[in-house]
Amino acid sequence: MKFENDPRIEELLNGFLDGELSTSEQAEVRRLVSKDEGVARRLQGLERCRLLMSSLPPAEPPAEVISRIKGLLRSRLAGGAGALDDTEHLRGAKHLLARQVLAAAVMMGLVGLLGAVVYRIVSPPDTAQRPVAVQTRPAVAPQALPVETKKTVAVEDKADVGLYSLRLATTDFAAVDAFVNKLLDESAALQYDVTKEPPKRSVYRVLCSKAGLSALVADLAQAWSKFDSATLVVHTGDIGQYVAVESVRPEQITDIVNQNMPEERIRLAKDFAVLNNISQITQAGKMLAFSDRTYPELTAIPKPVLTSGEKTAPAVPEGASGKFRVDLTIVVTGSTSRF
Amino acid sequence: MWCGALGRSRSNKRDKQVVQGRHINVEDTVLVEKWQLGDARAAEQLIGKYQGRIYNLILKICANPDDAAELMQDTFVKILESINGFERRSAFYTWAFRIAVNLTLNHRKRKATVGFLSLDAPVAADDEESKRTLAAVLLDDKTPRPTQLAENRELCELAQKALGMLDDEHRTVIVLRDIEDMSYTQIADVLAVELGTVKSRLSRARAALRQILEAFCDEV
Repeated sequence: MKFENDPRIEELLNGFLDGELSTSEQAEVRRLVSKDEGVARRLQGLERCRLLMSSLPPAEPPAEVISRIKGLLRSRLAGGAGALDDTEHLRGAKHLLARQVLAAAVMMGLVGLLGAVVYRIVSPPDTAQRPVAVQTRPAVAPQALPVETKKTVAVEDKADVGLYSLRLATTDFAAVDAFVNKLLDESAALQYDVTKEPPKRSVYRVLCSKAGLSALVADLAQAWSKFDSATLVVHTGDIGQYVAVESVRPEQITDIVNQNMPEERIRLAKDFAVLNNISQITQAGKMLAFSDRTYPELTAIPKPVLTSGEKTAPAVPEGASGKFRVDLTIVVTGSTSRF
Repeated sequence: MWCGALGRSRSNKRDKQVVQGRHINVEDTVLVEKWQLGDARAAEQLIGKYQGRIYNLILKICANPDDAAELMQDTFVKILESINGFERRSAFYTWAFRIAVNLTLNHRKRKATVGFLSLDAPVAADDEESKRTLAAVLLDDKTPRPTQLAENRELCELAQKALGMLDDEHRTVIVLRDIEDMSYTQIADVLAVELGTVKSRLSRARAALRQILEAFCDEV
């Protein structure tokens, strides 16, 4: 019989050895053993193994552990559930827990640090490169006007107002001043005050919309050849800070005023100032051609591109009865007079 | 014939009764009940009764006296913490043994130790004389007396070495059956496995142990 490969016979022999078989199973094993010498030898070997194991001498448990356990028992039963807290075992458990918490905290700190480093590497460029909305400061407070006035003007929202001075010098003061005065009188889209400073100086303070100013400048352009010099001063909003565009041309004024943002107006004014200065220095008329729009692409100011998620301030639409966005002081002088 | 010595009945069934196939020790049940009511003397009696068996059970499985002492303390701490939740559906000692076995096997897994004794460690019994004695024990027709075996220190060391070479599962079931003299039902209780699993696992464990011991004998 190939009982070595039959797990059922193996289990039967073990069960017989351990007294775990029913009467009929015991009879079956006895029959197998009596008929098969191999089965008998197998059973004997199992019995000897069992005997060998059961003969292993027992060891005495350490006395100090026994006394510690009894101490735990007494403190537990005497002091209730919290008595075990003072035991060495639980102190060890607490120590282990504290170490685990500390290790977790250190790991979290390291992960945070790593995250900060990674963010620093992959984060978008700083806001310095973003053409974003800039909160405009209030414009310079309008100066007190002299007594001789025709109309009362008021600016409600100074923050949106561009503040300019246009200084016009002419040898034909009387004609030019009369022309300017007439233009302002006939224009319904603006308000103005005028201060006459004889003999050859008139100061007009004009409040109008951008469209109104464009129309005014277009009308003024008819007499531009009469001006010996025309200088536009663009105030930056900081007291005492301004950009003066000498030899300014009417379309340059319109371009500057029509910029939406104060920064753009100032930047464009600076560009025109440099351009006009160079044109005055050079004899060639090419540079002037830039301002004449012969090569409009050279003077075109690219529109700002939004490169971040931050939105720029929306452009304020101007209606026909829109707010006054322009505070323009026109100073007309005789050529020898000071501004 | 030799087989006349087999199938003897167990004589240590005193104070035991079978409840739904499980052996419940009446004396233990009374002591547990008293312990749960806060009787320190009953608790000490129970601990004193089983401390030696639990220590030896752990020592035979983990094979390290220091670890065994630590695990024994852990076992009793666990028993102290859990005794009020013990519902007495099984015998106290099978419940306590289950705690001890689980703690020990978990400890073994954590340490991932290869065996009970290092195979490279010097063993005093590795001499030819003790191996010849072992061969005689395994193969002679004359059954040796257990006391003779226990007195032979070298033979015991060989047996311990063979036990240590078994895997944890087989070693545990051998210890519970052959050293702790537990019934199959009790072993199933302690290991939380089916009775059939105990039978097959014990059968495989003894076959493996037999092979190891015979290999020792072949070295002579």
